[in-house]
Formats: sequence, structure tokens, C-alpha cells
Amino acid sequence: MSVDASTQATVDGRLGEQEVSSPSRRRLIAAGAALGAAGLFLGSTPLGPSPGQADLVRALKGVLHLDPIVVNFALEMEELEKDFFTRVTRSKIFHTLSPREQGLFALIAREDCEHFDAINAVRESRNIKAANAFDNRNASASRQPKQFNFGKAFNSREQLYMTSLDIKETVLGAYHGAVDLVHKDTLRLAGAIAGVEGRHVTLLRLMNQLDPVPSPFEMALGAQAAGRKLARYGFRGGGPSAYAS
Amino acid sequence: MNTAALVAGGALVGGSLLVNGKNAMAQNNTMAGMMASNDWMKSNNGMPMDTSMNAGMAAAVFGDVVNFRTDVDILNYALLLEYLEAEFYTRAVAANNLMPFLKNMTPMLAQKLRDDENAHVEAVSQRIRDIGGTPVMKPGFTFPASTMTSETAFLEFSLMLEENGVHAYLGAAPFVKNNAVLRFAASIYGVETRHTAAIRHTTGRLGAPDAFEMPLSGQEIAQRSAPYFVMG
Repeated sequence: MSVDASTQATVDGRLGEQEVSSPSRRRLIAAGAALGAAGLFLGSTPLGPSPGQADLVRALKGVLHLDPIVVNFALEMEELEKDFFTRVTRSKIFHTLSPREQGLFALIAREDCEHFDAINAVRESRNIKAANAFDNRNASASRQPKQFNFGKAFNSREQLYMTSLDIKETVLGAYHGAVDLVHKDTLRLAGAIAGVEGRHVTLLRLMNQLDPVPSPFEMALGAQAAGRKLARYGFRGGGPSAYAS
Repeated sequence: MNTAALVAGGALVGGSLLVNGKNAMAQNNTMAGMMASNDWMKSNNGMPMDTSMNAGMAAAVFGDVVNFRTDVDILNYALLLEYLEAEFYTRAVAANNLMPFLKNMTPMLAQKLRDDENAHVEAVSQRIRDIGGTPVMKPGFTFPASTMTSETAFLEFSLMLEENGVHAYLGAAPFVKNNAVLRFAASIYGVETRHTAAIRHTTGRLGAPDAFEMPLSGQEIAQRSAPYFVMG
């Protein structure tokens, strides 16, 4: 399932409940969130927003705090990466790789775990709810681990690299696509993670004899496009059903 | 650096990443210590490491732009660093064409770095003009002679330049006011991290030794870069 505007809107509507108890204000925030999510969507269409839409997006970004959506989105991306690269290190194909390749995959798995922990810590420190009905009802700090599906990624070296690069390049593009949606307090942490994601992509490309820096400028990917690309692995964009058991 | 634990402990405050209870921007001494302990920086290939002289040169070259008061300041700060990188690679590639000292894949890497950094210079200059500013003039530069004759010296110096670039962009990011400028700067920052990883890989090091990039202040970056600028 890919991320859609209504999903994102619901997430933000639910997040709004934490801080605002008034039903009318809650409805207002939920409505604003829906518009904000629509703004997110419009901002990521291939042709870009029309001038009128751009004005709307700009205005909505000003009044609406999109950061909780971004945090949950990033958290699930890091969880997907963590799951994938950890599974790589436990797969049979891992033992057929060169020592340097093994070291790289183990390094990426470890660093993606640290990224996940860092974003999860931000989420908890800011009291952003996980988009998980079970956890929220039970006021639990823990989350149900998400189950991802990587198909035949571990069947051969070629498929392993193809999937690794697909995931890493999509996540990297998503970080760059979200740069102006991130709250200033979180920007440096997001940047610190995105930089290392860029290093991972470079190293995977080098190991696979690909140009490590194919462009002098990093490409950005909108949330919609990133969500659609990662959906094949079971990614749900941090939406309400993202962590459903 | 266990950022997760620090963030969980409420260490992410006011746009600054706190490390071991200290603001990472104020951690310059630690980073400087790390750099100073590096063999490259110890010998410095004959370049002066007098910090008071560096501070004076840094002030002369960078002036007020390191205070990040406006987006034009931040872009001009970036431009000075991009000039430095572009000039270094341009000279190194030219030197290698005259008398080859780079082996295997390193000449291709050097050309790639030269082309990317020159593209950054062009793009940053244009972006400054786009937002109504004036790009700073290109200053003069001086580089350790060994970086033009020894592959090891070339790679070590390249790594220092690129890592400075990464620290610089990340350190300046929270001060950028315009979202379009922020996206633009991020697109260059991302490529600087790629350069760093590629150089580290070429030298046999871990390509991503830490899970998080480190930000540094404008003043720190200016001091580190100062020995390679020539005024007048």
C-alpha cells in the first residue's frame, strides 16, 4: 500500500488529538491536516503544482506542522532498511560475499539500527504517537515490529545489490525531498542521517562497479513517489496501518 | 556517537545536536583535536598550522559570512569552500596530466571531483544572483606541493577538503531561511558526502565510519580552510 493523502491526513488528525482536547479544534486540525497532506501530494506530482496550487501548498506549510508525519514516515523507512540489512547479514548469500562486502553490509545494518533508534527517540521525546492503534490504546512505548517482504533479494548477489540500491536510493531521495518539511529542531539530525545514507549508496555503487556519484547534485524524491517505490516491500508510509500486527 | 540515547535524553535542543551534553557546534575543540591527531594534519606537508594566523586569515577571507545572518551570507560561505575544492582538483588534474602521479582509478576520481566542484561553483554563484546577492570574488589559493606529486598526499588532502565541506553544509543548514535555498544546499551537501565516502573507500578506510554526520560552525570551518587561501 502506498502513501496517500487521506492516510497522511488521518495520521496527522490522530496526532492532533494528543495536544488538542477540544473537539472543534480537533476537527479543525484534522481538516487542516487533510489539506496539508493534499498539499504534500500536489507538491510531489511529476509536473509540480500549478501556481495556484503552489500558493496553497506554501500557505498550508506555513500554518500546519507537517513534521510528525515526516517523523513517522522516516521512522518506517529506517525500520525497513534496518530489517533488510540485518536480514542480509543473516542470509546465506552473505557468506558468499567478499570480506569487504560483508563488512559493508554489516556496517550499513548497524548504522541503520542507530538511525532507527535516533528517529524513534525523537518521536518519543516529542510525544508523537506511533500510527498503531494497539500501541496507542495501551499507551505503550513499544511498537509492533513491522514485517517487510523482500522477495528474492537474498537469492543471488545481483538481486541483493539491486534491492539494496533500490531501497537506499529511494530512502536517500525521500530525505532530500522532505528537507523543507522537517522542523528546524530536527533538521540537523535528519541531515546527519541523510548524509550517511548518501555514503551508503556510494559504497554500494562502488562495490557494484557503478559510478559512485552519477550527478553533481543529489536528487530529491517526493513522499508519494518514495512511498510508491517502497510499497513493494510492505512499506506503508508511517500511516495508521503501518504497524498493524 | 550514540545520538539516539542523547536525543532520548532530551539532547536535541533548539536546532542543535547535543553531543555528550555539549552543543556539537561548540565541540570544535574535540573535532580540532581529532583532526590535529591525524598524521596529515600533524605534518601538514609544510603548511603553517599557527592558529592565530589561521584565525586572522579566516577573518580576512570569510569576513562576516560565517555568522550566517542571511541566505546570501550562507551561500557565499559555501561558494568560498567550493572555490577552494574546485581550484584544488583543477590544479591536481592538470599536474597529473603533465606528470602522472595518480594511479589506477584515482585519475578518474580526481576528474569527477573537479567536474562536480566546478558545477557547484557555477550553481552556487547563480543561486546567489537569483536571490539578489553578489557572489564573492574568487580568492587566490595555495596548496601543499606534495598534493600535486604524491597520490597519498592528494587523497588525504581531498578527504580533508570534502569532510570540511560536509561539516560546513550541515552546520549551516538550520540557519537557512528560504526553503528553496535549503533544498539546493542539501543537494550539494549530499554529493559532498558521496565524495567523502568515495575517497575513503579508495584509501581503504571505512566509507561511513559514523552513523551520523557531524556539523561544524562557520568559524571553525573558516579557520581550518584559511591556510589554503591567499589574499591580495
